[in-house]
Amino acid sequence: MILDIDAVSKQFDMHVLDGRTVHGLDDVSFSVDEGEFVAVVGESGSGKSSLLKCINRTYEPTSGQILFRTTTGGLDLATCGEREILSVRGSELGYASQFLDEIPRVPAIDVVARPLWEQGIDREQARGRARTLLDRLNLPENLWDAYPATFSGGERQRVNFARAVAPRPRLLLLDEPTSALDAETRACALGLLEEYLNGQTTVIGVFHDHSVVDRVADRVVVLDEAELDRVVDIDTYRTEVIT
Amino acid sequence: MTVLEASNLTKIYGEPCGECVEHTGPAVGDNQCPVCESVVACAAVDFELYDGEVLGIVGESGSGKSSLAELLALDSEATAGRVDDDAHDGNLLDADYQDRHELQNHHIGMVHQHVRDGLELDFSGGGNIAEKLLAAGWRGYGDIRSRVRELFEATEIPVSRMDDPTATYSGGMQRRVQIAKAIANDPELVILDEPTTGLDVSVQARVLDMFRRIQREQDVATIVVSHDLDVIRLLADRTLVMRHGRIIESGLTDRIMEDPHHEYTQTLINSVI
Amino acid sequence: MTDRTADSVGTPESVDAILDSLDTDSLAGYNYAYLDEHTKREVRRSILSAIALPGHQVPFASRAMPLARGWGTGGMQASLSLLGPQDTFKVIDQGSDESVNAANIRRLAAKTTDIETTTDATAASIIQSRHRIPEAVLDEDQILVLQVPVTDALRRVDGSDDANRRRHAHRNYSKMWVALYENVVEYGEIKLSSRYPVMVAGRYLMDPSPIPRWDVPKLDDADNLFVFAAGREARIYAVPPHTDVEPLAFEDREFQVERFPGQACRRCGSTDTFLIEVETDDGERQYACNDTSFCQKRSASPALSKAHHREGDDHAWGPPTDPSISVPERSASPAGATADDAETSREEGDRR
Repeated sequence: MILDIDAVSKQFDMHVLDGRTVHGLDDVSFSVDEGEFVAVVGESGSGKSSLLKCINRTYEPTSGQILFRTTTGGLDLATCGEREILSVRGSELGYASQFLDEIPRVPAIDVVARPLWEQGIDREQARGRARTLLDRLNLPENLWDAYPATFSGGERQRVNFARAVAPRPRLLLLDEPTSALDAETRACALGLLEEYLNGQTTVIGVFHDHSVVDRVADRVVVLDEAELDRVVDIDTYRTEVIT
Repeated sequence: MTVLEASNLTKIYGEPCGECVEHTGPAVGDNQCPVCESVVACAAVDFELYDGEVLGIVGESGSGKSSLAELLALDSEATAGRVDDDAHDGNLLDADYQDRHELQNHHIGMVHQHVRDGLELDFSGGGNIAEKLLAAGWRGYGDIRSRVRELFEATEIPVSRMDDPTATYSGGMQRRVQIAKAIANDPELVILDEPTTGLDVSVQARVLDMFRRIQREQDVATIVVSHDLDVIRLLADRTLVMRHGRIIESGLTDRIMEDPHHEYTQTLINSVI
Repeated sequence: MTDRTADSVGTPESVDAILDSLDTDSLAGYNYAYLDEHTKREVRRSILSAIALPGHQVPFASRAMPLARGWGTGGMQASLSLLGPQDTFKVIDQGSDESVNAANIRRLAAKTTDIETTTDATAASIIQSRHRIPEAVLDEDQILVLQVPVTDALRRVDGSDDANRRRHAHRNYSKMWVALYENVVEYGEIKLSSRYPVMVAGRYLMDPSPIPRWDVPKLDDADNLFVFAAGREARIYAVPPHTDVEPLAFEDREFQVERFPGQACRRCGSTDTFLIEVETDDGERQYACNDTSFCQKRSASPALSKAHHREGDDHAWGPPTDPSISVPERSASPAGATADDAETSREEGDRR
């Protein structure tokens, strides 16, 4: 087991809305085995993004534990220190939000390659890997040296995807990584995911598209209004969706 | 590895009466002591800075962030508090004139908000950087020229302007010279005080990106002080939020931006246009 | 108070009577060496402080002198405080004993003391000079008093005395170094021609007064005492014998002295003295020794060594003009300085 989510709740105290409390997640528990591909599905506002953000510590869980088995031991991502989070992010824990955050004036290829060479990989090798990934995602070559600020949503999403995938983190969190891609490019992206990641990579991905879930997932976590509705294996999910 | 550990950093302007800290701050909503009228610029500031990390300090006017930056750069004297650092035995804030200069030459680079505090406008751009090298004992003219050129290139200033008086440089170029000067002697710590203030928007992005690149390449621990959340978001790994001279919230930068806890932090984040 | 005055002339009746009574070449009306004893004591104490802290500027209460500030009042106060009946005094101004200023200063000293004066640098115990160090090597029992207009080398980079005092206190001379850097940027070499900044005993940055660069190496490890005095700025500083005095320079832009390639003095033919350009009546440019009294000696005896008066010690100071002339090896400094400068001049010649 690589990740154990144990009674995680996330509550927002919105002072700016007269102290209203918003529930992002409510007592969610499930675990993930190494190498699994877990899809997270649910209606809008059900807590899918919140779940990924809690794992990544972009949101600080209000209660509960998120036990992550690292190469050096175990870590509770919900409560551990900031230094520990920073040390696992990028190398062991990868996260791709829906859209690329603005990094002015870094060419697309370096957006993907930089995390690699900062981890010690030779710069040219890192760029080589970046090129391969962008190529597999059908990003036009003339954009590789351009700044993503000028890209379309779909182009940015591909750069984002490549960036998250490139370091082959042990646990990869993907939030709607293919929502802006056309069917063909989406297929490429998913194919890349299958090829590029080795058996040790665990993926937790939020998808709204059932066909994508169908293709890639081993198990499905269904969220409903911040609560965990059910966790089913892919076969069960297929039959449920069809019926 | 911890580069720097700060505890109880306090700066009070005026004659403190001993009750100033308890009578000021975000709970009270004011920096001025009602008893003795001293101004508590910052108080009770604790934090750690790790090797290669960028720590952001964000706040509005009167938050105390700039006073804090000045204390850390050893440009002003603390009223109380302690800073422990690898490069120096004992409290960094107690360093005498000689040690302070040694620290400012070799270990701490500061980029000031106002160019007059950071540069000699009569000297050339290259001369300003050369001063840092000369203060560190460089005595080979050719070596100095090479290093200055190198730094000009790293900070993206046209080398052709190297010998022009700094007063003739644009605001963006002057800021870059300050950055070049700050990193000239490979310091352990760089402090940026409002690095984009006064610059055109297009220049801001370039300067920030240039610094980000240098910081990551050289892995130099950095403290960035800014009222601008975009600057913090771009550069900082962790962030402290200050108000009325106190830290009211601290955490990972993305966590603060997306999941602010404190009421004031939420106001700040929601105010971004 | 023990002022030494001449016999009193009785009760004066009018200003004219007083003036008449003073119309004499005697010391009547003046204390010995013009200054009162308290003044001399203060100046001597300042000189002692200055010797104890080589290169450090010591303030003193500069007195009103019978000539305007800027004409050597500081040098005079130093000299007059040091002069005693056993002394022999020489005064030069830009190398010449005969300039109006030098002559007047010499006359004042002669009038108010009973000392001998001379134009021979080797015979003087005290030499007061404006902007030159004599060609003849000075001995361990000689004092050279230099007249100084600006006492602080850092004035070049910052007009604030307050800031500069702090810099001196903390040996923080980086601003001076930047000024030198900027100088090299502009001219390719350090082009400062006078008041060349030097480090004294590795501690204080000093302004050697507007002596030519030629004379700067003479300060290093000399046998004599140098006293620098400024009347207007009210400061005294000193370089004691055998002190390290190093002109500021970069490792790859070394200190260089003036060169007079292929030139010789038109009067005595010397090629190893500091020369000045002279325009003749027909517009021709010629060179002549700046140190006129040494030139006279050389005219009489062209092979005269600059150290001729030092028994068995045939070393000179000051580099040769012609780079191709080698300087005899010297056992002790300032031999080192000269050999180095000769090296430098030779290298410069090679590079050209």
